[in-house]
Amino acid sequence: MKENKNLYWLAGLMSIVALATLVVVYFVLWQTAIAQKKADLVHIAQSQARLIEAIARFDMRHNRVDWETPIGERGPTSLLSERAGADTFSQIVDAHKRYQGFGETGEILIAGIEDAQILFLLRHGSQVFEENKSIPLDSELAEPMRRALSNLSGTMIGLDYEGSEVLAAYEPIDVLNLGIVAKVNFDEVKQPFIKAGLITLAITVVIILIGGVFFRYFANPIAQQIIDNERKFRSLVENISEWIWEIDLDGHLIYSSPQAIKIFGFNPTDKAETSFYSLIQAEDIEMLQASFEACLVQRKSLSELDCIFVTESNQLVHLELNIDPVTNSQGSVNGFRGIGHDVTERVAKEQELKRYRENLEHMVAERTEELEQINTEMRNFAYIISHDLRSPLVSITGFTGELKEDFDLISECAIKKLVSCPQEVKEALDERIPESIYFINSATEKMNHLIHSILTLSRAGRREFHFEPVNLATIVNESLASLAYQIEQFKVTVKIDELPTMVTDKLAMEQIVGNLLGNAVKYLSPDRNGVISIRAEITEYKTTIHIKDNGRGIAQADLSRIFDLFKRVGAQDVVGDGMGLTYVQALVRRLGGKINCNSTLNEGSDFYFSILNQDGAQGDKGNE
Amino acid sequence: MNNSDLTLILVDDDPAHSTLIKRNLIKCGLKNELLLLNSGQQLLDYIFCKHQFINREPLQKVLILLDINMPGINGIEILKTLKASNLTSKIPIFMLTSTDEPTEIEECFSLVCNAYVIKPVEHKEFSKKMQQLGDFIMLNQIPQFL
Repeated sequence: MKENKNLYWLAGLMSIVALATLVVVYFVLWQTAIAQKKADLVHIAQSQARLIEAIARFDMRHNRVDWETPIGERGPTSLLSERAGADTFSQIVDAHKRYQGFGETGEILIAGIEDAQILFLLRHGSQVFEENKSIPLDSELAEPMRRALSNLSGTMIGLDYEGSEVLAAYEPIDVLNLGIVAKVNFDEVKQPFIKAGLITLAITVVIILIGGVFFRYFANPIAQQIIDNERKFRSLVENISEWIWEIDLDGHLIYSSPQAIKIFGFNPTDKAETSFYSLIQAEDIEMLQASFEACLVQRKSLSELDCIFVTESNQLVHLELNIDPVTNSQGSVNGFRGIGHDVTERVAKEQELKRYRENLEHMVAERTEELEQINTEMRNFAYIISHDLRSPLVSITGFTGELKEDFDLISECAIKKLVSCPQEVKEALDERIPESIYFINSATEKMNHLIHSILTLSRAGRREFHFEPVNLATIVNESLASLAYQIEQFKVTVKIDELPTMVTDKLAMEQIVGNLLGNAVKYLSPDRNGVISIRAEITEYKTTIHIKDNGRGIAQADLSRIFDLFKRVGAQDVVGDGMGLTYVQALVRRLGGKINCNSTLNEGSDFYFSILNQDGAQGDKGNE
Repeated sequence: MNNSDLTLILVDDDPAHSTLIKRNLIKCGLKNELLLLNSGQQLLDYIFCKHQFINREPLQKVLILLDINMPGINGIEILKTLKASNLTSKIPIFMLTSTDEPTEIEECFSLVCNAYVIKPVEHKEFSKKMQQLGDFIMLNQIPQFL
C-alpha cells in the first residue's frame, strides 16, 4: 500500500515539474517578448526624436534663425526658437497625418511643458489623431512623458495620461525641449501571452492527465509486483524455521524475523535497542566478535558458526549461524546479515549418539578382550592337554618297557630252567604276554602321535607371524622341488601361472602351499598322468590362490569334513595323519583368510584359499 | 672322574617318572647319591635348609634334574629363583621334561639353565637318552656347592 502511495507522489511530483517547466519557459518567453516590444518602442521613440531634432535644427539654421545677425543684436531667442519650433512641429504633424500608427493600441505622443502643465502636442495611434491636450505636471498620470520631459531616456510600464497601464519608451527631443513617448497598451502585450498561456496550460493538464492514466496503467503492475515480491519474501523470511537477522557494525539488531519468538521466547527488535551480543552466552561473545571481524576484513561470508544463545527463560539454545557482510552502495560494510539455525536438538542427539557410540566402543572392546582371552585359553588348553597327556604316556611306555625287559629276563630263565612248566604258562610266556605288550606299545605310540598332532596344531596358533613381502612363485617352486621325486615318478605336469608377491608370513605360506601341493601329488589318480595347475586371482581386496589337480577327487558327501581334525576320507591306501588340511586351515584363518575346495570324485580337486590384500600387516599377528 | 661326591637331585611331581628315570640312570651305571623330590617347594626347602630339611647334611656338589610342569611352583619359576640368588646361581640345573615347546626351551636357556633334555615317550629311546644323560653328567666338571 505504501508503495502505491509513493507511486502517486511520484506522479504528482512529475506533474509539478512539468508545470514548473512550463511556467519557467513561459516566463522566459514573456521576458523576451517584453524586451522585444521595449526595443521596438525605444527604436520608434528614438528614431522619431532624432528625426524631429534634425528637422528642428534644419529649420532653425536655414529658415527661421537669423544666423548672420550677431548674437547680441538678435531678438529674444525664445521667440525665435518658438517660431522655429512651431514650424518644425507643423511638419511633423503633417508627416504623422500621412501614415497609420503601429499596433492596435500603439501610439506616439509628443508633449512639452507650458504653465506647469504637460501639454500634449501630438497623439497619434491607429484609431486616434489628436492635438493639444494637457494634464497637470504633478499628476500621477503620464509618467513616461514626465520622464521624457525631465530629459530622461528609457522604457517603463506605467500609467499614461488616460490612466491606462502601458508599456512605453520615452525620449527627450533636445532642440525643441519636447518629449516623445512611444507606447502600447500593456493589455495588448499581455493578451496573447495570457491566451497562449491558458491554451498551453490546458494542453499540459490534458497531457498530464493522459500521462497519469498511462502511468497508472504501466506502473500499477510494477507496483503490484513489488508488493507481491515483498509479500513473498516477507512470508518466506517469516515462515521458514531459520531465524533471520541483521545488525549494524555496533551489533545493534536492525531486523529480527518472528522466528526469534520461537527460539528466544521474544523478538529482540520489539525491545528498543537490543544488542545482538546480549542474546549470546558470555563465553561465545569473544569468538563471535572475532568472526564478525574476520567477516568484515575478508568481506567474506562465514558459515556454520556454532554459537550458544540464551533465551528469555535462561535456557541455552545452540544456533548454527551463517554471516554475510552487508555493503552499502559505496561498497563499504555497514553491518551484517545472517541466518540462525536452531540445532539444539541436533546437538543433543549428536551428543547422545556420541555417548552411545562410546558405550558401544567400550562394549566392543570389552567383548573383543573377552574373545581374545577365550581364544588364548583355547590355545593354551590344547597345549596343556597335549602336555599333560604326554606325561602319563611316558610312564606307560616307560614301565611297559621296563616290564618287557623284566619279562624277557624271566622268560629266558623259564625256558632254560623250568622246561617242564605247564602248557598254559608256556602259552602266556610265549604268546599272550608279548602280544599284550605289543598292543600296549602300539596304542601308546598312536596316542603319542595324536598328541603330537594336537600340539603341532596348537603351535600354529601360538607362533608369532612376521609379515614381509613374499614371492609366491618362489615358494611354489621350492615346494615343488621337495616333491621332485614323486612328480617324476607319477609323470606329473605342473602348470604355473603368473603369481604375485604378497605381504604375509613366509613360513605359514610355505606350510600352506607345501601341504596343498603335497596333497595334490599324494592323491593323484593312478589311472592317468597327473596335471597340477597353480594360479592366482587378484581383486582389489583379496588374492585367491588355486591349486588344482586331476587326481582322485573327493565325494560330495565328504567335502564338508575334509578340514576336520584327524578326519580322513576316501580310500585309505595312502599314509596320512588326517592333520594336514586342519593345520592349513588354521594357518589360513590366522592370516585372515579362508580356504575352500571344489572337487568331483574321480576327476580332481581345486583347493583355493584367499587372503586379504594389505600393504602392511594383515590378519591375526599371533602375538600372545 | 671326581664327581663321586656329586649329589643328583631329581625333582618331578610324577613318582612314576622319577622311578623310571632313577631306574634307568642306575641301570646305566650311575653310582652317585640320587635324591628324589616331588615338588618345587621341596627342592627350595632342601636347598635352603628349611622345614623338614632344616638339619640336612651339608652338600659338596649338587646337580638338579628339574621337571617343568609341576603343580605349585613349576620348574621355570624354580630355575628363575635359583639362578637369581648368588648362593645358588652356580648349581647346574638340567631341565628334564616332556615338553618340546620351543618357547619354553628358549625361556629356560634365557634363564641360564645348563641343559634341556626331553623325556622321550618311546621306551627304548628313553633308556638310550638316560644313558647319554648319565654319561654327560659324569663328563661335566661340577663346582663346589659350598
